[in-house]
Amino acid sequence: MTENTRARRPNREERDAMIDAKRRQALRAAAAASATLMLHRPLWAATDPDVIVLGAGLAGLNAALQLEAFGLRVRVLEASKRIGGRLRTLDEVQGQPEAGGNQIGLAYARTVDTARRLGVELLPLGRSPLFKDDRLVYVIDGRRMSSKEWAASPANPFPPALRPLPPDRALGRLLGANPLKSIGAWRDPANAIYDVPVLDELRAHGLSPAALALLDVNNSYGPTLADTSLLNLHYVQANLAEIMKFRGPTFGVKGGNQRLPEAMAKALKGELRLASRVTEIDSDERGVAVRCADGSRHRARFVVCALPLPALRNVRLRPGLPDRHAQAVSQLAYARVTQIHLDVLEPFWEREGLSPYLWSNGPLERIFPNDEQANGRATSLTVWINGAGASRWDDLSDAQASQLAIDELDKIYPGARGAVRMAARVAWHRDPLAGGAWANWWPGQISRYAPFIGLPQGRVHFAGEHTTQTLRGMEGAMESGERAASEILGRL
Amino acid sequence: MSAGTLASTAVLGLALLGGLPAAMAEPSAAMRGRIAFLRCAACHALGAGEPHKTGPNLHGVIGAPAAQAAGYAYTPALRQSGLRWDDATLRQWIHDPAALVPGTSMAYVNALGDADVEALLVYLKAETRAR
Repeated sequence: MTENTRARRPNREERDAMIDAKRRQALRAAAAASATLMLHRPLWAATDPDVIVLGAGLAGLNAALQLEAFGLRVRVLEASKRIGGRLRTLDEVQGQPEAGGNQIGLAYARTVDTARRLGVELLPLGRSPLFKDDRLVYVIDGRRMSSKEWAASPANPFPPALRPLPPDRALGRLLGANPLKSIGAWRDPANAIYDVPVLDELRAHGLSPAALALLDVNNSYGPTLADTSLLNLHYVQANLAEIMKFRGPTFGVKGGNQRLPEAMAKALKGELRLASRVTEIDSDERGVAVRCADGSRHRARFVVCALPLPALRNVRLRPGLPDRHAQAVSQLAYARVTQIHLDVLEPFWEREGLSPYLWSNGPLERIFPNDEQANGRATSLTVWINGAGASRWDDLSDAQASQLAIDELDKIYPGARGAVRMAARVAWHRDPLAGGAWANWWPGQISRYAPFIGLPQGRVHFAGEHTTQTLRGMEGAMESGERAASEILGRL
Repeated sequence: MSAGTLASTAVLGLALLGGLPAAMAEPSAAMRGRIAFLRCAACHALGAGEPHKTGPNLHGVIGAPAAQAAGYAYTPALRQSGLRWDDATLRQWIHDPAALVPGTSMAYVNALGDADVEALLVYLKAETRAR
């Protein structure tokens, strides 16, 4: 996975060529694999686990725990040296902010239930006074403004109701009434009519190019509005609507969300091996053989592959996946997110009575204060840069990134230099084991790939947030692990 | 968990340990129901007096009018549905809750085949019965 191939969508000819090459490769591989398998019969022995789970994030761990609850023997292989996947608590940063999955709503049934079952405490996330709208800081084209000044600014291109809002909150409101009436409706072929670029819809609403450009700055669901599916945005809103049906706060795990997958890993009866990156999965009607980069081999009756697709692209499957599934693996886009985490040494924003919460179309894009006590005393700040802007930071060293972040912060909040220090830098799209923050369904991809992306192929079952059928994010990962476990149990 | 499900688990475990081919380890109907309930268990407790989860405790639900469990905050949609949980209604509900009761907070998409839904109904009846 190179940056170039991810930055530009291959055209149809290139895609077809890639698929043809894959198909030929798969046929050759299948022939080779069946020869190999003949030499190693039987494929799994009494000492082997029943199921190998690939990936120790929420999806893989939930699958593993559910299978163990039914008496199956499970081994989990995790490529990194850390448990949690895209749940990652930055213990090295003041206040332990989350780099990954953040808020747990009461609708997140599997996440909440698993935490309760394992004695993992969930704490309500209070609303920080730093998020008060009248103190938010906007920087548009280099000019600092309050929300009131932005609402009145001649540079504000939005319709009246949206003028006081930061543009990242405007997109959801521009979509209007949601045609998706249930959480599963995004996969209903009848709704494929919405699987089109949201840009067309917004233009039809009469939004100006200036407004569209501001919406694009930190669009989380595609590099540009032209690459963003209206259907996917409706799905995001439907997910939010499910969360809103349960009154009350959202929650975080005490000590950091990563403590949940760590507790799940601890509850496993079987083995969990870290630093075991899978490179090959061979399967036939008798069983599955998995090979890791360290040369180790593992055999089982079934595999649950809970790898994000960019990681799966580096695994050789024999036999290969059917065409549409293989296309989904190679084509599904993932969100680019860069975060700069700054320890707060002094609350510099208080000098001018401002909030550290920032919305800008400059290099820092957004700042989210980490105010874990919800008392206005942020211990760290997360500079959150996504979409096309995330890539601008990719070629910088840590020292250069720290300098750029602090220089830019000091321009917006004079005197901020010396009041913060960079404590961590995360670029999800640069992590080869993640490939991005979450699956981004570009226009047409839901209709084309969603029906196939989670289908088992022989003895290989698939999980991961990209295969959820209902809720998104953490709960989607949990749901997918449950589904994969249920599929395997149903075959026994 | 009932003694029956414990015994079924042991049988399933033995079948696997013995390395029987999958076709020979055909699970009992009760086990099939328990496996199907895996898709429900995060939201619903079944035993008398167990706390509600994201969804209500289902003890005594079979044959009862909808939205009756004490202490659970049902959506207005389900409260006003006028449904009673007989077999036909339960089948429709499991098949597509949002179609039967638009606005329900049950965020469930059914992936179970008809036979598994039937096994689930049998399991629910056994596990939610007053004993």
